[in-house]
Amino acid sequence: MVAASGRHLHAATRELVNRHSSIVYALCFRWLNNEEQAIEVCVDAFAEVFAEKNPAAPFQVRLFRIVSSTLEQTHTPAVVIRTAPKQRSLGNLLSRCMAALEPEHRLILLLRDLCGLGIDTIAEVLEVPERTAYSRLSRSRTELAREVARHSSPMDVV
Amino acid sequence: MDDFFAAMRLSALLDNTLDADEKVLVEQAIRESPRLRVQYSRMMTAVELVRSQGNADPPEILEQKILDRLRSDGTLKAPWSKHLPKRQTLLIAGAVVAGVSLAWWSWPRTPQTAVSPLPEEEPLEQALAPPVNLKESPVLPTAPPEVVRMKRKPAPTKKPSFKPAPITKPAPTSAPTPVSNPTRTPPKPIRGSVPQWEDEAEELPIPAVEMGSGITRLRLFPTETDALYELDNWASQQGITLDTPPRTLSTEDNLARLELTLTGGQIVDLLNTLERLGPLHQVEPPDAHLSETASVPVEIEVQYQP
Repeated sequence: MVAASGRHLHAATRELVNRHSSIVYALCFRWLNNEEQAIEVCVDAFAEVFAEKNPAAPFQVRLFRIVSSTLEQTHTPAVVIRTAPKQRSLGNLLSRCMAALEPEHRLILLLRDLCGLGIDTIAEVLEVPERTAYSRLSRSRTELAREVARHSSPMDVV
Repeated sequence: MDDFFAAMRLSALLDNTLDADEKVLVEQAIRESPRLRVQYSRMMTAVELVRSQGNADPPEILEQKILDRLRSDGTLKAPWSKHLPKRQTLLIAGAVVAGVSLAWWSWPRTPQTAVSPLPEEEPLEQALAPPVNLKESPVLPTAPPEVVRMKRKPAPTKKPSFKPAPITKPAPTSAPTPVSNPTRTPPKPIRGSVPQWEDEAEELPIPAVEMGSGITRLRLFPTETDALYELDNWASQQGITLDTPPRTLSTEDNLARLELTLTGGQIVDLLNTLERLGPLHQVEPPDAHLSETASVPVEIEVQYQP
């Protein structure tokens, strides 16, 4: 399908967009906390990956590599911490915890647990060895668990 | 297993990517260490939080925006689209094709010639007849001119005479009597003006003759009474013997018939002679048989003025 899309086949291009657009948008939105910016990054990433003339990696790897590179260069807006207990939600809790992580930890967490990529694919996307990806993921999860424990009350996480 | 190494493998335990031996050791360490148990529980909660709350539904316009962007960038094109000519070229080609089609449809067409029916099976006698020697007879091989004539009833009150007999003029209001023979070709005036009385003469019973046998039939409406003698003299000068001598001709109803066999050149001379004698009609065209050397049977009907 990727090869066919490379030859500008209309149907294959639509199928690739349909298959990857929602998960790429979720990654961008969870990173940026802004719908318009997330859409813009998504559109630019797809335009860039389809414009590549001689792709040397699978479509998914190239797409997430472009998105990751873009997100790492984007300033993450400060997450408003709502103190009122009624306004708390698990989504807000996750946003706050994510914002507290370092970008490389946040990225690998989202690629693994949100986008569902395998460790081998993540290693290709981040262009690091698999063992490095394993250890980075482990440290990221530990940091996130610490942040979740720090920002949540026993009632938040059921 | 040491707690440090076990903690480093909690993430792999969550992903279920550990070997069976390592998994047993890590699970045993978690059971033995309360600190590891809390750490593993928190990590599991965090991962579940990301998996359950991290997803975001994309807006409906996202996919369309991506496709619009690809279309504007020229990415979303069919592979053969780059081989297509430009729009202006297509329009010109379409106009040319339409013009050619219109001209083709509006061009006048020649009518299709009807397919002639298959010839009927010839009789056995003709099929067994010897072949025609074309060198000896350059005339198209045709059947011998068998002239089948209907015998006219002689007028009951008249006797054979050279004197023109008066014809009862029909009433002018009566319709012309139709010709008895439907295959008879109406006479065509070729030289001279048709006299008025010719129409009246046409109403007389004209002997039926077989058409299409190659006979040149001429009808003369002489202005002089000695036309038959003039014809006899002309035949004598040409060295032609009349098959039916004029003096033996019956002139009933002021009609005489002469039969001759002429060449094409003699026919031309005969026509010039007949022209001097009066208006002339050609009953049946024999153009296909006209030749300078070939002989053609000629039949002359001399219709005297009543």
